[in-house]
Amino acid sequence: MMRTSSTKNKFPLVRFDWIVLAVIVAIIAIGLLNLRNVDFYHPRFQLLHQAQLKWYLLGMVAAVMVTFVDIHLFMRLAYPLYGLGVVLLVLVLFADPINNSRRWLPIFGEVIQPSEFMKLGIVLALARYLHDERHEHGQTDRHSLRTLVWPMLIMFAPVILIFAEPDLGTAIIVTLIGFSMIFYEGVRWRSILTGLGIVALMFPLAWKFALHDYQKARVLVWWAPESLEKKVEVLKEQEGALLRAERDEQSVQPEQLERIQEEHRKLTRILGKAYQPRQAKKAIGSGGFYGKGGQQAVQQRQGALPELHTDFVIATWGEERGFIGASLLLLLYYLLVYWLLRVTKIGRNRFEALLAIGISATVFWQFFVNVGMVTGILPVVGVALPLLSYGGSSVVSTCIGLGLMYNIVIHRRS
Amino acid sequence: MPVRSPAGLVEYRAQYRWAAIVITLFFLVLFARFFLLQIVHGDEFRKHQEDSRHRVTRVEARRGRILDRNGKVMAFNVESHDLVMFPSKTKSPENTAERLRRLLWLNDEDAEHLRDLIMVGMENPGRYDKVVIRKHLANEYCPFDSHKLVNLPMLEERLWCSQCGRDLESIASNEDRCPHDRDHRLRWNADHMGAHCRQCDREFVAASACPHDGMALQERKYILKCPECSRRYNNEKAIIEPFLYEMPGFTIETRLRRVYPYRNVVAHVTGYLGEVNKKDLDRFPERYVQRDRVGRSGVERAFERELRGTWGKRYRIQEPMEPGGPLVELPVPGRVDEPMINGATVRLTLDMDVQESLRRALRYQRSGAAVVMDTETGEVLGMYSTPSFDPNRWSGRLTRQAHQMIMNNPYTPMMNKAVTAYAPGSVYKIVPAIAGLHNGVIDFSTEVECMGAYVFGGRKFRCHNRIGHGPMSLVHSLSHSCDVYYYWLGEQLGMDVLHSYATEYLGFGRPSGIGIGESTGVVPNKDWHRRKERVWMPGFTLSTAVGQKDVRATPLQVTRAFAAVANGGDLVRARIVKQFEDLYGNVIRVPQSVVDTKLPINADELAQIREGLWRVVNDERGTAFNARVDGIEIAGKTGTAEAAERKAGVSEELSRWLKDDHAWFVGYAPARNPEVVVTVFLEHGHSGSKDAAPVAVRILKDYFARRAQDAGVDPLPNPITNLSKDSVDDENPEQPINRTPIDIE
Repeated sequence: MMRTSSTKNKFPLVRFDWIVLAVIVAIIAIGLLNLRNVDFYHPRFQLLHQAQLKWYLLGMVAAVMVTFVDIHLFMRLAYPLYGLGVVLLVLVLFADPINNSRRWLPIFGEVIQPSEFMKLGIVLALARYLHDERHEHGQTDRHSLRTLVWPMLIMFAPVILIFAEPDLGTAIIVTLIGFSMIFYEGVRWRSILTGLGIVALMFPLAWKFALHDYQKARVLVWWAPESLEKKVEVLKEQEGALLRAERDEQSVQPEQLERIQEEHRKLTRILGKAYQPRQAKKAIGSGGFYGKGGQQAVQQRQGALPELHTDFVIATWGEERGFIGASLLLLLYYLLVYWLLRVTKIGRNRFEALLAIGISATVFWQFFVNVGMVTGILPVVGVALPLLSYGGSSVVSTCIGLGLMYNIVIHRRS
Repeated sequence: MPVRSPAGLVEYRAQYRWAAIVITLFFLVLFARFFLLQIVHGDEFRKHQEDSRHRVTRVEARRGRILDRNGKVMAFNVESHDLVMFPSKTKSPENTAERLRRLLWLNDEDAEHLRDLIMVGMENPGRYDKVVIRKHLANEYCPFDSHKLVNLPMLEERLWCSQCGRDLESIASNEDRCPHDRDHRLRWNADHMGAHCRQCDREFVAASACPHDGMALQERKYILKCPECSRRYNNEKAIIEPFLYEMPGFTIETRLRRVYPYRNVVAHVTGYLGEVNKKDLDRFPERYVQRDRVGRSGVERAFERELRGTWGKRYRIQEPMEPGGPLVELPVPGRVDEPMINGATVRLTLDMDVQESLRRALRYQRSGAAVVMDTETGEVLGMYSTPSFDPNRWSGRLTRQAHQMIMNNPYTPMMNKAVTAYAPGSVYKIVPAIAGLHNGVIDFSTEVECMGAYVFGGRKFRCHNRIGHGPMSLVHSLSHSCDVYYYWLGEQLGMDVLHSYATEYLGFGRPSGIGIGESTGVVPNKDWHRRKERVWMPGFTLSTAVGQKDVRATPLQVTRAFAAVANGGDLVRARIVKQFEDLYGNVIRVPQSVVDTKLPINADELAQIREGLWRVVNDERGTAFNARVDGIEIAGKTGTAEAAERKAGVSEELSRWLKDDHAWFVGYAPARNPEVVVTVFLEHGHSGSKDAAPVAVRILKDYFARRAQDAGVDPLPNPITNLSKDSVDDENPEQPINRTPIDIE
């Protein structure tokens, strides 16, 4: 869909572009309102929405800056930025773990999450590579596995680093983004099938060797909760028996008791965590059609959802605003993603088009996986909701991505 | 018609379409999901939410045991089973009451009581969440005195009367003698239907009707008995359990009950438990709930914190798995359970053998106490107060009657007299002796003429020897216990000096450091008198110097003071706890022996005093000469303190007792190289030398005899295991119990 250069608009943007700008603002507004209520339920988190406001502003400034810069700058910076991202990812593995994972680097008094920015980095790098492929080397055929080696490397190197943090969710998202971009480019059917075969083979290996217990537990809980529950029951019985023996002053091996208690506790926590989607579903479901109203969510008051401000932000919104609110949110994001997709057609070269598909994929997959996870369609994997979840790195990187989109749009329309 | 597009963009059209379709589809899926959750199942979820409840359950910790220094158990826990009823769930109370009556073999009165309990519970459904119908069902331990029940070698048959509840043994009417103690005659009733044996207090019957009320007797069989009190039992818990399902709303709750196997032998030291009252609950809402037991006296109270342990907490959400389904418990995400920590075991410095010997030594005394202490370390090896009580009764079924009886006993069995303050009499004389030596008022050769009385301030202060001892040196004054010497010495030193030496160097008027509740006694000075009685006269000093007037000391304080003399001058802190252990026997904390202060006199001066004390027992004119025994050299001091009391409304006999003097004797042995100090105090016991001294000597004799018996074995063994540097701390009683918390990730 092209506008001919004959219609020289005064404003470089068409109406849809403006609408989406409004959509973005609406999403941000919803984000702030939602976070303010989250803060209300957990006095501990009092000032989250204020902090988030700071990030929104920073993000918007960055977006604006990005919008008015020459896109060729990004083409040139693609690989260096990618490299910088990888370096940061390596560095972060040496940082102090927070909550048992090393995802954050302290910089200038704040902490940033390199994996969030890596998403942009990968999009840029892949876009640049695939662009060069076509333009420099004149490749026009669909990709085969052979030609995909470099893109795969570009994609998987950071994925492995991210996975090592451990951050399963972001690793999955990055993989999805990469694949989206590559598939958009075109892959031979045979290669697709072969690739799927390899993945199918890798999966059990990954399950056995690569996944942490708690990650496995999360998947298990989603897929077959009874097995975990049974395990916990057994442990509870064992622990109970040992405790009774201890109480009756029969001799009990302390190490055995401690081991069982340890495991029972661990599994209980995992199970508890895995009940998050159950609680989230209950929360959302109980919202009904109209929702319960602001600050009236019962679930949150009971304190049953710990990741309320990050992965499970939607739960509060769903319970408070009901089906109406949820549909509204869905609509807003749908418009956003749809517009992002259209930007692919506006790009004047491969790089821009691929950039567009990359950013679309970023927003879309994150949205889908997060909401799917919260509503119970997918296992819990720890993925943030772009622009709504609390998190500076996520907000800023998303804003930069959107800024890049507007960059393309502005320069094309004019 | 596509215009010329920049390189390669045109082939994106297909991809674009695919992408648009996929994305739209995915969004529709999400939309449908929300629809499903919120519209279709919305009401269910809402109800689900209302049905769920947060529960925090308490994981009970086991109370720590109390052991003597050799590991003999003085307090431990057994399971106690109560039959409880939840009125809201009970269906047919009449039937249940009847059934219980039969299962438990309740006599008419008890059955009536049971029915009342059930009815009251039923009629006020809102008022009672849970009603305890019957406590302490017989199971493994005797409900009466907590002794472990044993199986009878053969099933025993009895005839049981449903009205009065008595168990009668069947017997032939021509029987003359009691079948259990052959040498005792039976006393038959007038109608020759029932008989009674005075020796074993058993009742017999030769007919089929109860001799007391004529009710027809029923046959009853027993399989258990209590070896201690000889009562017969069946396993009530096992009997009722199978029928619980037929009695909805009734269940058996198991609690832990405290048992003191040595009963009154160590009652004052162990203390006992009582139910928490409102004050406790208010002060520590996090620590106690209704019906918890907390230490009320002795070690149970002093070390309540260590013995109690810490509850565990389980956080659970209770909700139906599916809406409308049965309730399940799920963990609360983000809330970690707190682990339960069992109470620590307290190993005391007490030696049960010593304690037993104290009890035996005092068994003919009306009222008094004895303390045995290790001279070097201050460890209390024995502490007994008579009369004593059975702490098991206080944690079992204590009737109002029994309670009254104990409270009205004029010899105050509940008081631990070893730590109660009384007028010390002549045992207090070491205070002026030491003060005098140190101040230079007297030396070894100073002599005071005792003519039987000392005139001061227009008054005659009499010596206990009316004729007079003659010229007295320090050594003599101790061995003869001459009062005049000390009246004079007291006058020279003055009240305040006496006060300062008594409190600073000998531990009078101060806590002994033992940890369990003790009286600090009274050491008056001028100020004290002025405040209390608004007058102070110099004559008070004289009386104070000989341990009369308002001086008050506990047997423990006296022991400690003499330990300082015996061990060469170190005033050691009294200790009752040897160490704290966890339930696997690992040592958690070892309190160290502490020397509070040193006596200010030098070795020679101390030797003089000890010479005097030695002569008390070993010189033929010593006040305790008649009490000496072969085989051990004892040194010590007698004391006879005026302590006349008057109480209204007591018998003639009791009044006479109350007027008598307190009897004291403190002794240490072996005199040259002392190991232990013993103090015997007899309330209104009459004479230190005639009454208290022999008891103390007896105790020492037993102690060393036992030692000789265990020849080759260290009589004060030190079963400390796993002592690591970190677990030895320095006297800080506030140090928390150091059990490694289990890490939760």
